[in-house]
Amino acid sequence: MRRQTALVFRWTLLQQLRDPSGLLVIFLIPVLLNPVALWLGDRFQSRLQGKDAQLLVRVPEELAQWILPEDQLELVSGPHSEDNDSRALASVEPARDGEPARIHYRSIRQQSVLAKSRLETVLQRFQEHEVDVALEQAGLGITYQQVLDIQERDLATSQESQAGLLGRLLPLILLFVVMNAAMLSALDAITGERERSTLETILSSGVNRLSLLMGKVGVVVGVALLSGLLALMSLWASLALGLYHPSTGGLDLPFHAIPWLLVLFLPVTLFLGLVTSLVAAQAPDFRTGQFNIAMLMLVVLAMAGVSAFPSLSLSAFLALVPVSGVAMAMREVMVGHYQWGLLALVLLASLLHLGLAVYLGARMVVREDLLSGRYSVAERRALGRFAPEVGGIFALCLLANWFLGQRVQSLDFVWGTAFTQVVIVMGLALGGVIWVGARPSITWQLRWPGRGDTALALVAGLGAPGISLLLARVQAPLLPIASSYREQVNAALDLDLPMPVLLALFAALPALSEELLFRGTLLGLLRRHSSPIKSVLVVALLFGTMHMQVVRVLPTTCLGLLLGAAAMRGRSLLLPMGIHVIHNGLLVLLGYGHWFPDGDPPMVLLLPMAFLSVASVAAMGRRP
Amino acid sequence: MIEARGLVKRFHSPRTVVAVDHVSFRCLPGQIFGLLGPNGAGKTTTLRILSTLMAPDEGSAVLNGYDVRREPERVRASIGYLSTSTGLYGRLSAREMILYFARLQGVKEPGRRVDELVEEMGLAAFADTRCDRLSTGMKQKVSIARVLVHDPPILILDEPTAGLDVLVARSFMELMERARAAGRCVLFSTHIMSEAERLCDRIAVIHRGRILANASLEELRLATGQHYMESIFVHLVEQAEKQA
Amino acid sequence: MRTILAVMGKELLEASRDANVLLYALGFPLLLYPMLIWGVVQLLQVEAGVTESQPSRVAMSAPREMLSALAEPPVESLPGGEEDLLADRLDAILELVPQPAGGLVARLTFRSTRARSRRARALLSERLESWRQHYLEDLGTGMGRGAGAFLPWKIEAVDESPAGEVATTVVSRVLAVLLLTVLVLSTLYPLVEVMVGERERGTLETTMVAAVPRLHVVAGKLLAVMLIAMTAVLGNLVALLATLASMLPDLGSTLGPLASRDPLSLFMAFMGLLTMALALAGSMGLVILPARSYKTAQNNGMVLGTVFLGLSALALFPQVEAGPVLALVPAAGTSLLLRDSIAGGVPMSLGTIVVVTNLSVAVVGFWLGSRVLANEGYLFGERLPRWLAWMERRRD
Repeated sequence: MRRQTALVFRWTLLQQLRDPSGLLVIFLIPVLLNPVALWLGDRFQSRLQGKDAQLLVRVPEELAQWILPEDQLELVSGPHSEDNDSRALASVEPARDGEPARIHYRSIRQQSVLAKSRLETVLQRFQEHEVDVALEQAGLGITYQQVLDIQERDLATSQESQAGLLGRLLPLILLFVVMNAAMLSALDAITGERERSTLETILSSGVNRLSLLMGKVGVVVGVALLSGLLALMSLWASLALGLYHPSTGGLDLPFHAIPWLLVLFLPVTLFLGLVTSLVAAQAPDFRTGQFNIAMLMLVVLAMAGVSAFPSLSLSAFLALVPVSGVAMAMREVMVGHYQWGLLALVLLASLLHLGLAVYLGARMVVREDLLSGRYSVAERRALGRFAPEVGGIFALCLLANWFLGQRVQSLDFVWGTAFTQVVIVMGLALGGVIWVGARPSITWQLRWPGRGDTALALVAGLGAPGISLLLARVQAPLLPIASSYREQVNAALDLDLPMPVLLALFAALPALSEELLFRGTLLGLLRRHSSPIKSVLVVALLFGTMHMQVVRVLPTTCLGLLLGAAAMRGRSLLLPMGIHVIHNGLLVLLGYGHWFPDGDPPMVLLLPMAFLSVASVAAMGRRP
Repeated sequence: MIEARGLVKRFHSPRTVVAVDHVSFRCLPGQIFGLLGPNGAGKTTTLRILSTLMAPDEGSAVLNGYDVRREPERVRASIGYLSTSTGLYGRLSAREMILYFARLQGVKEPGRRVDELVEEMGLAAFADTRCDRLSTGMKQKVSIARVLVHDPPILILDEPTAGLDVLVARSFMELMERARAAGRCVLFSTHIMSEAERLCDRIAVIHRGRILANASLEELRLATGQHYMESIFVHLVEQAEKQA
Repeated sequence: MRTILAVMGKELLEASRDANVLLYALGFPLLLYPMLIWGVVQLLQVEAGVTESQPSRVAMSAPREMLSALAEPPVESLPGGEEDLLADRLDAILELVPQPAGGLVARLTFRSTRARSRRARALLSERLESWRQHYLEDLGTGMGRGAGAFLPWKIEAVDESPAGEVATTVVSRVLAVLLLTVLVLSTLYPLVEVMVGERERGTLETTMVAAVPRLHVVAGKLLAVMLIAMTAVLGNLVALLATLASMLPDLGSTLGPLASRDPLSLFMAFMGLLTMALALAGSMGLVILPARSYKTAQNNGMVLGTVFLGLSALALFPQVEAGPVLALVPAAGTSLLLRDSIAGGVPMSLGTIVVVTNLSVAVVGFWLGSRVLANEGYLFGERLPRWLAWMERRRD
């Protein structure tokens, strides 16, 4: 087995190394990208910032003498006029009794913005002088500056600031290079091989499937790794060679950061190489592979792009997001900001993602259709494999909610919400079942539950808020809720509506429509082929995602697990519906009634509620 | 008619090979002319030169009165060429495929011509099916319809029966016979002796780029003293090897 | 003309039956934009939550009467010194030292590479400034000279850009680069398909034997690719606008100025985009045509595509202004033209230069492409003409 893997690895690698154009893209781009970008940045930096230019401005005479040579401003004579002045980039209108001084400029022209900020400096200088004169006349013996002389000192060295700038771009460059290499390699070694039908030959040669795939994935990952390392090395070398001289001082890849960059880089590259290989293995032909991987690449780059935003920082939440966490951690490491807890979380999450990818990959290998082509739609449906349909219905639901639901709700909140629930969600639940040609009553499990189960569902529903509130509280240190969001939610509940309407809108309708779609259609289709645990888990995840709020994902997913388990154990859709109605109803009453001093019930109450709820669902489905 | 005079084609990579070595022959209207030779003998290159896809290094060829070098577009307008691969667009239906070529070839009233062909070739049952869902035999029929769409006086077919089952191959031979009856000039290449034996009015045996013999079957039998095409072929090749 | 249309029609028909093209041009953007915007909104929300949960930790030494005003939440006063700041236990250090001659010196130490420290600094500067204003006001009132006596006048910056243009300048930059990126990507893949795909399946040979000029075949194919790419651009534009519209009910007022733009200018922008699509098809066709396989084609196309993307990214920098020289650079000129015509207006002359440049690139590409196509070495994979041989070494 190990020998076979090594063999496949060696031959695939050999093939790739013999292809000059592939080598060009996989290895030349990482080597050349950094020096070229740095050199260009260096050459055009000052030109791009336009810092050296003398700018033409128009100012009143009393101000003119306060313009110093270092302001780099040149004067255009004459008073300010209303019509567009084509020569002056900005002009000053002096302050008149009570009116502020005005600087006229045009924000759509960069040079005008620059002129404005330079004029502000001049104006301030002038005004401070005026105030100083007033203070002196009043005999106070103090200047404006002296009232409060703010002296700022930045402990960050210019080296660190430059490294911070570089850190914003580095993850993007690095992950682009890695994805590029993985993409070309995977397309050639996996998709291309099927296209050339050499795969069949290998498969019939008695090579173990797993070792075949492992050998190939090994090449993809290896090439991606090599490419990324080359990019890092070329960055280091081009900085060491001094290709980039920022005006504020030298720039080096901080030495302490290098081992950490490598540690962060390794698992994410393995992960991306593996995911790319899996996508490539799924594609029936080269073209489809190309399309799918290109889309994957765009998504990965968008996720890596978070590091480019200076206002975002590494948080516990971001640390858990696949590519973004690593990108952000790389940026922080570059400026020497070692948040050990968060870094460990990033690494742990990366390893977790990698493990998940390995698991999924291993599951895929056993599937017969992976290497030999796919089932036709009819075959797949006859076998009860509805996973693509489930994904499609869910995607439609998301899109309809986004494009239609949000719009309608912004027009009229109450009717919009009702419309979303009834037309979109229920419509998709029904439409989905009809589309795949299943029988609604069987798929949805529309039957009366047993008396015992009904009683248990009642208990479970009463305890269910314990689960969601408990989880919301547990995740709070990781995902603190912004006050703006809390206000938004409260505003929605503080509608001036009678209680029954609120209950119908937020408890009855959602329970009905969401259960019909998730526990009815989606779970009903999935459970035909997948194991009960897997189906419930997947549907619960979809349910959590559909709520479109990061802070709600964990509580709603766990609630989804409970509801799914109730549907599967009790074999009736009415059970989760009941639990859902009671759960939402209690939450509405809780928000409405202000029963507890700090809003939420105390932990002492939540824990037993959650336990009771889980226990009663676990007890369902026992036939006497 | 086709007249090839002293065609030479050399390939230079990785080393210089003379693929076609002073090939001359003549094929008249109402005649089936077979180019018989083993794989790599230079059949395909010769046909590509005649269909203007390649320019000869030396020599010239005149098809339907037009020179392949000087008037390649007129030459192309007068030939129907079928390459070894079927060459169909997977995502077009059979009818669209033929219609496309009718438009390319500038056929007047392309729609009617396509209807005619669909009728004539018996394609009606699958005319609106996408080509990638057709069986090999159906695909071959569609390619023939495509070749005939502009009613060319000359047909150049490159190993048309290679890889086909007996029934489909037979329909091909019937097609060639019909074309002969309609006064077309048919040039086809093959390495299957029995086909040449059955169909050809004249046979050229080609080996290593050279034409070893060019005559009717009867003449070949007389010249070599052999009866079966296979033995004639082996005899000719052995003779050529001996001389070399 | 007739044959060009026939070739084009066939390519479009084939593309429209390709689920990949449809998914990539329409389905993907419809999913991508909401996902991206949703992701950003969620991130910002989490970020806001994290920020709220993190007070600014400041070591302060100040006169007692000032301390209470400066140390209001979210500022938290802690003991400590510079080493604590360097160890991320503090976000800033503020020392207010009364001067013997009157007045105060405020020493604010922070660390610009830490987000929390940057926040603390901004917060403290704001509070210090407002303290100074209050002090001077009180001084004026106390001396009976009026609150404004010792205050500098307010400075007001008046933006004379036409209303609404400010919003559109940001939009225009992003939009210009985005549209060109989509254009480049959605030219590359269909191009590989109609050129290399056809050759690999052996259908190119049959087309070449039809009595059609080579130029017509190339033109028909490239025009079809251009139309597909333009469709993808429109699909993206629609998806983006729909996403924005679903988030901002008052989108009309934000993008209103766009509608009131000089129609000629918008027309120039469209022409720029259209001719760029042609130029892209022509120039990328040239590096893709000689490729022997999908893989090589993609590699070659990727390299040229990256160059074009880099050039078009120039429009992201507001400092780069469109001039006659940049207008002569294919992708850069077009992306600047797009940006400026969305943001305000462009001189006709500039637009014309861009359009003419793009058209000439396209014409050269089309013509050279037909030369490649007519080449037997290319058709049968024997040998490329010398001027193209650098593209490809011999196969193994």
